[in-house]
Amino acid sequence: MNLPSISSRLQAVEEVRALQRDWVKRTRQSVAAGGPFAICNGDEAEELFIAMDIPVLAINYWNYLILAQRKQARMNAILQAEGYPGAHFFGFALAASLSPEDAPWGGLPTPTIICGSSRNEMETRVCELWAAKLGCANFTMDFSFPSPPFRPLPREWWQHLEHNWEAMVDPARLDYRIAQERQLVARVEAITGRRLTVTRLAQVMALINEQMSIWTRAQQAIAAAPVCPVHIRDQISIYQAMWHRGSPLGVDLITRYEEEIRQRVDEGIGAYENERFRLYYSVQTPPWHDEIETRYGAVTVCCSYTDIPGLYRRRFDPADPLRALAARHMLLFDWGPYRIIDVARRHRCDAAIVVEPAMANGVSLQQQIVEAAGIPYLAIPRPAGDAEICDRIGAFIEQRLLNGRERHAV
Amino acid sequence: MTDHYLQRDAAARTWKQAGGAVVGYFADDVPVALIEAAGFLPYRVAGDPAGDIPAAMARGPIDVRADRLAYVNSWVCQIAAGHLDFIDHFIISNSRKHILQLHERLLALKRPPSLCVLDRAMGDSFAASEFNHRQIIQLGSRLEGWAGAPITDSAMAAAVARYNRRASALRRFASLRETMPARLAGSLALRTLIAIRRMRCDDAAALLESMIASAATGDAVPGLPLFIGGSAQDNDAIYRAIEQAGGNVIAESHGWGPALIEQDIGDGDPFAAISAHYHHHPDFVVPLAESVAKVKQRVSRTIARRFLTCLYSADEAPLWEAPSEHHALDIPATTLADLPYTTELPPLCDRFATLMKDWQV
Repeated sequence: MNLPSISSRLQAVEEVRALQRDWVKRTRQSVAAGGPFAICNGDEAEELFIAMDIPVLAINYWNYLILAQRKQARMNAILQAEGYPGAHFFGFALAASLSPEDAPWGGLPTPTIICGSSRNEMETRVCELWAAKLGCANFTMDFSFPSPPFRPLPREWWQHLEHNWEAMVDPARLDYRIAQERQLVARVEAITGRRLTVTRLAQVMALINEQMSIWTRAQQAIAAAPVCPVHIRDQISIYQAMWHRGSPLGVDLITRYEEEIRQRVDEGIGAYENERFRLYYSVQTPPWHDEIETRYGAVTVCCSYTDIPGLYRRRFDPADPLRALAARHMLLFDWGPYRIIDVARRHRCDAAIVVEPAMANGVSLQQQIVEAAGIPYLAIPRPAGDAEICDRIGAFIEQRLLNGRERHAV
Repeated sequence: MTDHYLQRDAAARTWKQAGGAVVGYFADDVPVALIEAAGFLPYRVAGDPAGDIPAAMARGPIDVRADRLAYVNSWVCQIAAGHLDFIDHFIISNSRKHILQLHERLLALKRPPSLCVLDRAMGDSFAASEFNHRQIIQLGSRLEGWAGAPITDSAMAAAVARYNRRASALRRFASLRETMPARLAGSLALRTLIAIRRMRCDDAAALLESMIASAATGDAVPGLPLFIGGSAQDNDAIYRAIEQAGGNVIAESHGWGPALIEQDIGDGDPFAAISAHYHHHPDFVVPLAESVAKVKQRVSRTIARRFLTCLYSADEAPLWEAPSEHHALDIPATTLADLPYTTELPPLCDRFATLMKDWQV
């Protein structure tokens, strides 16, 4: 099928990218004027800060930004000079605070509080050290996502999260987590003088559900279009709208994203010049993408991140929104082969490329299950775009897609 | 003592042959007095640097991949291979995240062992103490279910008394090493500290008491007195390398150190006392400032002249504690990072010889 293609980025993506840089600048200004600012481990408590009108930054967002600016060697060197040998992705943001001239976009202002977690001892310590360095408060949350659940989740767990979340988390842990989120709110209220109300938190939860519903419809439009209308790079870049979840701005950003996608679909525009095979990738933007697209016309139409927004939706009691929020902080999503099958099928993928360490006894069970569902599966050892990885992917496409069968009819 | 260390399973196998049952665990913040009160022999599992440590894990009912920590893979490998087949049940504690993840790893084995989770909240709030107290009560119920009999008050009181006798012996044992002149070689002390976690508390106390009696009149042990922190040392390879290089480890804060188990369980209702004991003495201490203060206090009571942080590859938790500890101490401190999880002495000896030479200068 010959449809027009377009190589330019979505306007909505350009908008969110510019917005983020401006958001950091405006936050610096508001903090200089005496306003509060929070740094938070991802999916830990951002909504509480948003509901108190406190600007909040997710730690790994900043770490990924440092990575995108290719400053990882510099950040590791800063940490090593402080006595922390090795490479430490999670510590990049701390390193940027130790050397502000190396921080992206002029750096972050000094936060009022850093909210970390006990999900991993190293992350706990980094947040403690960071807060001590900056002289701000630190709060460590327990039982964070992804704490391992002690009860088996349903195979199609993603179908149950929105309405049946209560049955999917440990009840004792949930009670404690709610108590801890209340402690955090009390601490932030004491430090900042801001107040959280049930009504305001319920508004934020409702806006999150609205934003994520629009985002899900946008992804459904991408999946159903005859050719992929949005480059995987843009599908990942728009993820920055996640940092404004629960706000009218977040809803507006995603509304414009959906409108633009629908316009492209209506006009029959594809994001790729030469879409012959459609791929699922297990991480974010594939570093090998351009090479493989050029060689084989194999394009990445979805990845593990592209369908995450829908997993944020939670049914909640407007009189007790904290319960649903705390449960979501404990269990945002799971992984596994059946999720890969679900996402890949909805996007009509010809194959899945998954980063996974080698197994001792042949291929992984995940690979067996995905292959049994009729989806060719390639396990690669690292998320890299070097010659070895490109050659592996090339050989896989030649053997399994070019020689094996024609691509799915679209 | 060497026999107890080299034949580390002997006491447990003897116990088993006599009709007893064994409960395995992986960190010190698991209530061994409660395990003993239920009639079981507690057995703390150690990695085996000389054993099989696969770089990739076999596939079971689900995919479980190798941990970045070699000693975790060693635990799983020993259990999967049946080397710990004398252990009837395992307690998976939320002491460290790699221990908690054993829940999934062990259930994924082709023959998953009997196990239960001892959860923990890290916070220091009343809600956290309530949560942790309930976990101890639930563990007691689980142990009763495994034993098929209730835990009686008298059994609890006796188990706590045995635990405290061991704690008292451990404190005296530590003083033999930590004060001038040191009366015990560090390698022997470490072997003892590992061995006593595989026997009942009264047997451990008896062993320690006999060693204290003989060491008190023995010769002083030479060597630059060192305090070791960092990764848990599952064998004495590093200690022996240090001794060969002219040093002697006189105390430690790593995972086999006695900091937690040398504390008495308090008086009063045994369940409440045990609960309070472990709530206030977790394996992973939050906040960092408190953890550092504990190490500083411990070091300051010893004759240590140098502090050495030894880190296995990928052991990130102690790595992020070391600079704060070093900064707080009044003695010179050094980190040896990315050490191999091995019993191979020659490469270690070279590193320690160089280090000791620098220090002696």
